[in-house]
Amino acid sequence: MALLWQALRFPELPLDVFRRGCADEPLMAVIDGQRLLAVSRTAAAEGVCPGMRPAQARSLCPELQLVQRKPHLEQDSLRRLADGLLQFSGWVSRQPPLELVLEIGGSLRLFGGMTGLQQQLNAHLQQLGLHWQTAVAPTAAAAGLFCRAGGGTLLTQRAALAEQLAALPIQVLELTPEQTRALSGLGLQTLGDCLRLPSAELGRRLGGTLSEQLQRALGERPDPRPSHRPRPVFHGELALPAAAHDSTAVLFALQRLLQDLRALLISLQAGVQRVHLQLQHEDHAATLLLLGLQDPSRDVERLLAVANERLQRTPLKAPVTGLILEARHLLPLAARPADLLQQGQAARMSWQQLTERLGARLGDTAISGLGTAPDHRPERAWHMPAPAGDRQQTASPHRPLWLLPEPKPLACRDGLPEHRGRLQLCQGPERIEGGWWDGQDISRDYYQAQAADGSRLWVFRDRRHPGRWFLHGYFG
Amino acid sequence: MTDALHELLREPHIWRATSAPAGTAATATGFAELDTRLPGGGWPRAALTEVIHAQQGIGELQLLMPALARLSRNNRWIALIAPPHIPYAPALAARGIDLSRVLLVRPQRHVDILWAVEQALRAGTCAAVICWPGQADASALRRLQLAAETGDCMGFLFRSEADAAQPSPATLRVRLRRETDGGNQLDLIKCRGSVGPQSLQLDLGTPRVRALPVSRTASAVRRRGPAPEATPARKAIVRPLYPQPRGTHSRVPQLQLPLDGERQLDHMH
Repeated sequence: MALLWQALRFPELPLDVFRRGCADEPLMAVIDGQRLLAVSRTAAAEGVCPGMRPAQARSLCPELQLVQRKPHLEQDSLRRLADGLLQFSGWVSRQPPLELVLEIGGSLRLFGGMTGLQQQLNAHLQQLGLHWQTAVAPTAAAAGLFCRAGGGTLLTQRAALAEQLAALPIQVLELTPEQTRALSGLGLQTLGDCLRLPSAELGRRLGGTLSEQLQRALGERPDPRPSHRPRPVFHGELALPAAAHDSTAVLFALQRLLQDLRALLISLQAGVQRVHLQLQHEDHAATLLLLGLQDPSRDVERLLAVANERLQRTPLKAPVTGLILEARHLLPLAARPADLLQQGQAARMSWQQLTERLGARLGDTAISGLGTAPDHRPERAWHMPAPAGDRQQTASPHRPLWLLPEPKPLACRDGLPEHRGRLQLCQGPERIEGGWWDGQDISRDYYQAQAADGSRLWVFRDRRHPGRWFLHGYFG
Repeated sequence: MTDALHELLREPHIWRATSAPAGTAATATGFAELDTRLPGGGWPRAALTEVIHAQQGIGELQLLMPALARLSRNNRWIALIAPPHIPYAPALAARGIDLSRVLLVRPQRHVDILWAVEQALRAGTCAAVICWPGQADASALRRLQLAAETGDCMGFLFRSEADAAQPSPATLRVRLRRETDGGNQLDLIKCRGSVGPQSLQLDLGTPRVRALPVSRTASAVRRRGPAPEATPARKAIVRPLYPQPRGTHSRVPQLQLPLDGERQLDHMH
C-alpha cells in the first residue's frame, strides 16, 4: 500500500481556542502584538478585518471583544487534536503552529475507502468545533503545500504530482522575506516557474531550503516526520470569552472538552471512571467537581448527564470564565464495534447510566443495592452493597418484608405488648441470640403478632430486659 | 349530537370500559383469582398501578412478590424508591427475588422522590419501579404514567387511604384490606378495560391467624393442655416453650409454639 498523506491546517486556531466553547459565534477578535490576528465572522460583518489596530477595530465596532492570543492554548489544542486523530491513523505528526499531517494510506480499508474516511474525519472535527482546511497527496510536504493553498485537493497518483504542484503560487512555501523578494525579482510566480529551473542553480541563488522544499514535495528527498505519541493522561483547558452565567453554557463548553477526551480514549483504547472538572471564576476560587461513573467508559453522553445533574444541584457561585477537565487515570477498555446492535436500544439507558444520573442529583449514598449477610441478628443479616454484582443470597422465610431501622419500644400492659390496641401473638417464639464476639450481644424472643387493625407485626421480647417489648418489622 | 359524542370519545383521557386499550400487555400477578379479573391477565405493563392501603403490614408487599420474583430473573431491574422502612433482604430473597437486580433509592427530599421515580420509569432499564411517593398531584402522576409508557416499565405506587378519593391517571388502582380472620380483600377501584369496580378475596399466602391463647399463669397452660394431633400443619400447636415454676405468677407470656421448634417453623409457609 502506497503511502498517502493528509494534511490538516487550522487557520483560525488562535480564534477557535476561544470560540469553540460558545454555542453562538461571538463578536470577538484575537490580538497578536499590536495587530488583530483573527476576527470572528460576526466581527468581520461589522467591517473588522485582520491586520487592523485594536483602536481602529474598536471604533468600527464598540462592542467588539478583544482577547490576547494564547499560544499555549493553541499548542495544547493541536496536541489534543493529534491525540484524537490517532484513531484514524497510526502515524500522526504535528507541524506547529497550525498544521497536522497524518498517513491515511493504511487506514483506507478500515474506514471504508476514501469517502468513508473523509466523512468520519469531518464528523470528528466538526464535533470539536474547529475550522480546518485539508488536502491529500502522495507526499507529506505536497499535502502541506496544497493545504496552505486553500485545501480541497485530493491527489492519490504520484505521476500527477508535479503537474498539480506547478499551479500553486510560491507563497505556499516557507520563505524568508529575502527569498520572497528575490523570487518576485526573478519574475517567478508559481511553483511551476521554479520547477522549470535547474535545481542546483536555484539552490545557489535562493538558498538550499527552497529547492529542498520542492524536492520533498516531489518525493525526491527523504522527509522524516516525527510521530506523535499521546500522553496517558488528559488535561484539557477551555477559555470562555464571555463568562457563562448558566449551566447550559457551561455544559456546551464541557461537551467540547469531553469530545477531546473521548477522541483520546478511542485512540488509546481506554476509558475513564472519574474525571475532575474545574470551573474557573473571575474573582472566586475555582469550583471543583468530581464526575464519577459506575464503570470505565468513554461515552460522552454519560459523563455529560452526570455533569448536568451535578450542576443542577450545585448552583454557580459566580460566572464561569474557563473550564479545565482532567482525567488522571485512564483505564483499559476493550475496543467495541461502535455501531453494531445499537439501533434498537437507542432509547434504553443502561443501569449504570440510570444510577449515575440518580447518584449525581441525590448523592451517591442514596443509591445502593440490597444484599444479605451471614449473621443471625436480624439487623445485621442485610446490608446495602453497590448495585449489581453476584452475591450470595441467604433466604429466611420467616422474616418480615419490612424491617425497622431501630427496634421501636412498645407499650406493655400486664406484660403483653400493645400497638394500637392489644397485640395477639400468633407465631413464635423464635429465639435469636448472638453477637458476644463483637459486643453487640442480643438475646431476644421473636413473635409474629397481629394488631387489632389487621396488620401483622414482628415483635420481640428482650430477654436481657425482661418485660420490655419491641416492634422490629412489618409483614408487608 | 353524534358528532359531538364521537369528538368526546376521541379525547385521550376518556376510555371506554368495554373496550380494552389496544395492546394491553400484562404480567401475571401470581394470584390466579386476581389474574382472571384483570384485563390482559395480570399487572398492566408500561403503566402505573396504585396500591392503596390504610395500614402497614397487611401484605401490601406480598401482593407484588410473585410478579417481582419473576421480573427480577429477566435481567431487568427492580427499583425501590423512598421505601418507608428497610426492605428486608433475607425476606425478599425468600420470596424468590434476585437481589442482585434490586436497586434501592432513598432520596432525602420529597421533590427528589418524584424526579427519581420518573427517571427510573423512563430509563427503560427497570422492569418495575416500586415507590412510596407520599403527596402527588394529578399532573405529577400523569408525568409518571407517561414515563412508564416511554420506558416500558411497570410502576407501582403505594398510597394511603386518603389518596383514594383523589382522581388519578393510573391504569389500575387497587385497595388492599385485611379481614379480621387474616385473609385479604382486594377492591379494584379503577381498572381500565374492565367493567365496574370489583372486589375479591385474596389469599396472599400468609398463614391464617389463629390467635394463640396467651396465658399468664402456668396453670392456664396446663389446664388447656396440648392441642389435638389432628390440628392442620398451618395452625400452631400448643406447647409451653420453657417450663414455668409451678404457681409463680409469671410476667412471661406462655406461647404456643410449633412442635420441634425450628423444623416445624419451616413448614409454616
